[in-house]
Amino acid sequence: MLTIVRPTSEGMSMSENSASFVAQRRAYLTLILISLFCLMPFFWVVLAAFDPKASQFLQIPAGITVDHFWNLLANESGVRWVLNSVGIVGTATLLCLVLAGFGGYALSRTQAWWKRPLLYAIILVRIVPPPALIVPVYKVMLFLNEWVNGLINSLTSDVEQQMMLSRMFSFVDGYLGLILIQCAMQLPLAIWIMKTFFDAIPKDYEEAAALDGASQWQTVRHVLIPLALPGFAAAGLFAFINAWGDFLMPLMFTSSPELQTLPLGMFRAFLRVDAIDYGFLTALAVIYTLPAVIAFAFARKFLTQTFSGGVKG
Amino acid sequence: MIKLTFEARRQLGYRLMMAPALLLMAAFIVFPAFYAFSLSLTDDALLGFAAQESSFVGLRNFERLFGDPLFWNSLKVTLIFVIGSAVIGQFLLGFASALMLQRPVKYKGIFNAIICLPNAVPEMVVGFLWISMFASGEYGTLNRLVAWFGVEPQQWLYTFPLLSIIIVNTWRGIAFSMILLTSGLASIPKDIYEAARVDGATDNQIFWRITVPMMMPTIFLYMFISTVTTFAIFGLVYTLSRGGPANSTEILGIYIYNQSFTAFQLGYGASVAVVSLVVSMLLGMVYVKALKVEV
Amino acid sequence: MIWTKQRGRANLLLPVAVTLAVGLIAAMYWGRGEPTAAQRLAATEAEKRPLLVIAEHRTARLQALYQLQPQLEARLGIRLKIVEYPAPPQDYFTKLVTELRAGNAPDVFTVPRDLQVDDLAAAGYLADLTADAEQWSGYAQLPELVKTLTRASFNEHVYVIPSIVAVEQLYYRHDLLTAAGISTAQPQNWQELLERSREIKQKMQQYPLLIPAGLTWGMGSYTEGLRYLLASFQHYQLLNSQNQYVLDDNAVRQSFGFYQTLVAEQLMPVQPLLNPEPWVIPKYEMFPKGQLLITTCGSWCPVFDWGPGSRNPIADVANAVRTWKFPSADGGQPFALASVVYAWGVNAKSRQQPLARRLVLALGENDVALAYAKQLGNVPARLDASQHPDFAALGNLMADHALLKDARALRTTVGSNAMMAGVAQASEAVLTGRADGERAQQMLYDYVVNVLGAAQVETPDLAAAERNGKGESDD
Repeated sequence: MLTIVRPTSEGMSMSENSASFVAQRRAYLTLILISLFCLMPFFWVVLAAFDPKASQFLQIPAGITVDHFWNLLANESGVRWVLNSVGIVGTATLLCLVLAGFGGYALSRTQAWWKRPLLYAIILVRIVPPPALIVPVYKVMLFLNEWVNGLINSLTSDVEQQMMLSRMFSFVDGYLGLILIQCAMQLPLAIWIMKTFFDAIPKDYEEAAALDGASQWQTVRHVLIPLALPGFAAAGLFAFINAWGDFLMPLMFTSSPELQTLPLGMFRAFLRVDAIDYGFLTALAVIYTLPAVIAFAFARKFLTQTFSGGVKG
Repeated sequence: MIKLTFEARRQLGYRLMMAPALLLMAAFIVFPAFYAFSLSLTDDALLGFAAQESSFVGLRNFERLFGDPLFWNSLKVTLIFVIGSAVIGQFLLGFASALMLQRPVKYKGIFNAIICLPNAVPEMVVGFLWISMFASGEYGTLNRLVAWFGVEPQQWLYTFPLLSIIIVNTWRGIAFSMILLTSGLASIPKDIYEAARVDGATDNQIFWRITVPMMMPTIFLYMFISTVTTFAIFGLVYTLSRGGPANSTEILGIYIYNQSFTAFQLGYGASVAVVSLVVSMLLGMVYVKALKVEV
Repeated sequence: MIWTKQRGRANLLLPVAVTLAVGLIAAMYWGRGEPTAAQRLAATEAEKRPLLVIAEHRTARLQALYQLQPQLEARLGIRLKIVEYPAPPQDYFTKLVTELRAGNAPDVFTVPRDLQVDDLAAAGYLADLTADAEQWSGYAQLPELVKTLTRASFNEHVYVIPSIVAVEQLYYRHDLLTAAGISTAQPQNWQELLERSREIKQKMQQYPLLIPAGLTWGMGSYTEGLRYLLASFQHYQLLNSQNQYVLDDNAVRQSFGFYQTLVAEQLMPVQPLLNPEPWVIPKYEMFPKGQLLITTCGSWCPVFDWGPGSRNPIADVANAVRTWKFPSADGGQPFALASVVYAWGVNAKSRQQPLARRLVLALGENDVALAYAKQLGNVPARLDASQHPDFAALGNLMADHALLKDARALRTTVGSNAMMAGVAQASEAVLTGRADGERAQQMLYDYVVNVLGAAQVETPDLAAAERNGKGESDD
C-alpha cells in the first residue's frame, strides 16, 4: 500500500564483498527494533477498532466486527466531526493553494525591491511558534467576530437566522474564522514551495507562448499550471496534512458541538472519563488517521526538498 | 513607451497577486506577533474588570515573569524536551535508520514506510495512542512489556512524565530526521568512500572521518529545523498530559495557554509569548546568517 | 530536482483526485446545510416556541436536567436546547469564559463555585439579576449567607440564582475511634482538635487528620483546606470594607501555623499531597482503610467517595462515618462551611434576556433544586425546601440542610484565582518544610500583590497592626 519511492540513489555501491555478515545482521536488528518501536502503539488502535469489547488496553479481540464503523455512521456527532474536518480543512487547503499559487508566481517572477525582504520575512514567519500567537490571534479574532456579528444582526432580526449565519461566518466558533486561520497558518510554507517550483519553470516558456499569440489566461492555463502541478501537489499535500492534524486552532476557536472537528470532538469525548466508548473512538481514530497517512505517503518525496529548498548547502 | 506601461502593469499585477496571501498572513501571523508585544504591557484578562477595560502596566508582567518559578520551570522543561527528543532521540534513531537503510538490506520500502508512519499521525491521535501505551495497571501495554524484564507496573505519565513525552516525540520525529539525513548521506560522493576503502580504512574510520564531517551541514540543518518545530509543539503534550502532573511537562507553549486560558491572564500570557517569539526569532536569524540562505 | 517529470505526473493523479473528492464532499456538506436549516424553520413554525440554549456538564447533572426538561419547557412555554459541556471543571470553565468573551455563550449556564461570581460579573459576562431576585418569592427563602454569596462584592448586585449548596465539615471514622476508645465528642476549638489528633496518632499509629494543601491540589488547597482554618476566626474576613484581600493578618499566619503543626508532628499524611491527584490516596484509599481518621469533606463524600459503588466502599457508611463541625480558633462556636455551587447565571449578551431570566428563576425552584441535590449529594439552597414533599428523598442530606442557617463562608472578590494559586504555593512550602506560618503568610501576600497589583490587597497599616495585636501572638 505504502509504496514509497525513495528519492535517493541506491547508495550502496560499496563493494559487496566487504559488507560482512555481522554488519548486515546488525543492520536488520536495528531496523527491526526501530520498526517495532514505531509500530507498537498502532496495534492497540487497529485491534480495538474491530474489537466488539474494545477497552483502553491492548488485548486479543473477542471477535472481529465492523460495528464500530457502522455506529460511527449512525452516530450523528461522529459523522459531523468527519464532515466538519473535511469541509474546513479541504476549503482551507484549496484557498491556500489558490493564494499560494498567485503569491508564489509573483514572488518567483518579480524583481522588485520587495522580493528579498519578503522572502526573508517568510522564512521568519515560518519559524514563529503558533502557541506564541494564541493570545494576540484570539484578540484579533474577537475583534473580527464582533464586527461580523454586528453585521449579521443588522441584516436580520430573526434569532435563529442570526445563529445560523454566525455559525457560518463568525471568526470565533464559526466556519469562516477557522478556515481563514488554518489557511493563513499554512500559507508561508505553501508560498515557499510554489515559489521554488515556479523558479524551475523557465520564463522563456511563457514568453514563447505569448509570442505564439496565446492570451495571458491561455498561458497560465496551458503552460504554467501543468508545469507547476507537482508544486501544487506538494503545497496542497503539506497544507492538508498540517491543517488536518492541527489541534491548537480548533481548540482555540471552536466550541459549539455543531462545529466540532475530529481532533476536538475526539479530545472532548475522551474527557468524559466516566463514559469513554473506546470502540467508537478507536474507529474514529482510524478514520482520522487514514487521510493523513495517505497524504503523507504522497508528500514524503517532497519533504527534503521543501526543507532544504532555500538552503545553499 | 508601450514597453514601459506593459512593465508597470506587470509589476502591478505581481503586487496584486501577492496581496491576498500577504493580507492573510499579516492579519493572522505578522500583526499578532507584534501585537503580542503591546499586549504584554497590559493587564488584559478574560476575567475581572480588566476584561472590560485593560490598562497599561508597563513592564510589570515581565517583572513578575522573571520572578515566577513556574516560568523558569517551563523554560527548563522546554529545553530538556527539545534536547531529549529532537537533538538526541530523533536524531540518533533517525541517523541509525538512515545509515542502516544505506546498506543493501531487503524490504527497504517496508522499513521506510513503517518508520514514516508515526510522522503521519495527527497530534490528537498520537496522544490517544500513547495514553493507551502508558496506561497504568498491569494491563497497560508498556507495563506488560517491562514485566518481561521483571519491572513492576508503573504509572508512566505520573512517575516519568517528562521522559514519557520525550519518548512520544522521539517516536513521532524519527521519520523526519531519517528522511533529511538520508538525503544528506546520498549527497556524499561515492568515490570518496571508494578511495578510502582502497586505502584500507575500516568502517569505523570511514564513519567518523568521512560520513560525519561530510554530513555536518545536513546535521546542522536538521538540528535547526527540529529545534524550531519541537519548540512550537503544543497539541502532542496537551493531549497527553496538559503540562501536568504538577507542571512537570509544562513546555512553553502549554505554559502560555495555561496562563492565558486557564488562569485567564492574557497580558501575562502575552509576556510569555514575547519570550517565546524572541527566542525563536533569534534562532531564525542565526539560521539565516549561518547557512547563508539564498532566496 | 528530485522528481522527474513523468514520475511526478503519474503520482499526481491521486493527490489531485483526493483534493477533488475533498472539495466535492465539502461542497455536498455546505449544500446539506440549507435543507436542515429550512427544516428547522419549519419546525419553529409548528411549535412557535422560542428556543433557549442552556449549558450543562457532568453526567449526573445532565441526567437531572434531561429529566426536568419537559416540565421546564411546559412551565415557561419555551424549547430548551441542552448543550453538553466538558466535565472536568477547568475545561468547563475555560470553554464557558472564552464563549462569554466571544459573545456566543449559551443563554443560561451554571457558575460552578460562588468565588467565580465576582470575576465573571466584573468582566460584564453576567446579566444583573437584582430586580428579578427581588420580585422572586424564592429569594426570601434563602439563608442570609447564601444571599450574600450570590452578590458581587464590588456592587452588591445579584448575579446568580442559587439552587444547591455544598455543606462541608470534618468527617471522621466513628466506628474506628469508638473501637479504639477515643472520644467522638465534638472538638470545640483548635486545641481540642489537635489533642484528639495526637491521641489518635499515639493509640492507633495512623494519620489522624487531613486538611488539603499544596500545589497539586490546586484551588482545593483553599476551598477544602485553608478556608476552614480562616473561617475559624470570628474577627477575620478575607475582604475588607474597600473590597481588598486581607492577607496580612494573624488569622492567616496562625492558619498556616496550624498546617505547620500538623506537618511537624506528622499528624497529617504529607507525601501523598505532593503527588499528582493528591486526593486519591488519602481520601479514596487511606480513609476507607482506616489509615486516616479525620478529613475535611462535603455532604457528597459519604455517597460518592465512600458509599456503595465507590472505589473503596466503607461498610455501613452512614454509621461508620460521622461528622464534626469545624472547631473554632478563638472561642466561637464550631461551624459548618457552605459554598454556593452551580448557581445559575444569565449571559449578559443573551438574545433572549427576559426568557432567560425567567428560566433561571424556575431553576431556583425547590423541585429543581431537590432533583439536582439528590443527584449530586448536595443540599437545596432554600430553607423552605424542607417543606417540599420530595425533601424526605434526600435521606441523610436532610441533616446537612439543617446546618445551612448557621454555616459560615468567606466572601471573595475579583482575582480569586490568583488568591487560590497563592494559597496553593504557600501551603506547598509549609508541606515541604520550607516555610513556617509567618513565612507562608508573607509568600501568599507577595504572590497576590505580584499578580493582582497592590491596589487589590490591603496594605498592612496601623489599624491592621492594632487588630492583629489583640489576637494571641506566637512567634
